[in-house]
Amino acid sequence: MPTTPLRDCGDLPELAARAQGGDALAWRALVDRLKGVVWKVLLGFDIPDAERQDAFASTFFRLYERLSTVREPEKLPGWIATTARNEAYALLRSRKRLVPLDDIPMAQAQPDSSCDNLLETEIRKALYRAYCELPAQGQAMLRALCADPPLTYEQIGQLLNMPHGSIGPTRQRYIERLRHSPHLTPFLNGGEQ
Amino acid sequence: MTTHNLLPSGPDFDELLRTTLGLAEPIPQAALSAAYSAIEMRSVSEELASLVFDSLVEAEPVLMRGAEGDTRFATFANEHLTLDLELLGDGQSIVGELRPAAGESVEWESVAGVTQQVVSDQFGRFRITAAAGPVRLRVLGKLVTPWITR
Repeated sequence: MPTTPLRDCGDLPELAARAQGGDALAWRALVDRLKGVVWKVLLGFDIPDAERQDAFASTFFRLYERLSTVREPEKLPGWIATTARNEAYALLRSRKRLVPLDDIPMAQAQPDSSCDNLLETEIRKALYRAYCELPAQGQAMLRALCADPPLTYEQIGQLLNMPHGSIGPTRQRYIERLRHSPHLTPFLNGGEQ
Repeated sequence: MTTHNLLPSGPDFDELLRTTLGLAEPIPQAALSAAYSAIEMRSVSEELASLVFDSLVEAEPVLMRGAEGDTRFATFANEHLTLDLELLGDGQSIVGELRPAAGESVEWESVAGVTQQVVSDQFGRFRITAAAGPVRLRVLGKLVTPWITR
């Protein structure tokens, strides 16, 4: 199975410094390092896809204009996750919906044929179908926990308005639900739980 | 050991979930291209103004929007200029006033990179119509706002 190990944040200060100096390649690399965090945060919120893409771009515009003020670049993953959330929130506000800040509507992921085309193996297709049957908050939480560079439980708790102490146990519950989904039954052997 | 046909457990399961979500929920190329292009936007020589007032923020923690068509008020300032903005409820019109009052070239820019210009009147006032989406305003040589999400 192809795997990309989680990376630490050690390269962020250098990339941020070079990007601020106008190094386009460093900026591109910085976007590539942080894009997954931003996208995973934005996917959690129930906003139209075009607006989600706008929010993605404007999150990085904000990062670029703030680069010179970043004091601790290794904390950029948390900063940009919060920024992405605020962009999603501002978009919801701009659509004149009544939205309390701590209650941004969550998106329910749906499996469709394009997903099946992207997921090369049967086990991945089954796992994603099982994932799509989790409640929206569970999806958002597991997605945020898959972010690379990783977000802390504190950051995820703030993003999803959950007490961070509950994230570990809740995660475990959702993982168990996934593993016991009927979609995944064909991939269990006798010894598997 | 795990194979493609057997559900792994522990960290291998987490890894399968992580890579599966990455494959199933890719970042659209257009959004990524826009993010890359942030560095190509005209470099900001003016001094970035700070947001000193925003009726959206001041309304917190209630944060319930009022009636449709509400106007949002925001003030940006740096050591040279103060810029009061009224972001009208139609999502496009912006009325601005510069202090100290003067006729200045005011430019606005969309995230698509489109820029347009207007000159403020002798009282420092101007009105623009900017298509929906994030926008930033620039008083040439003096002030630039952060991106404003409307």
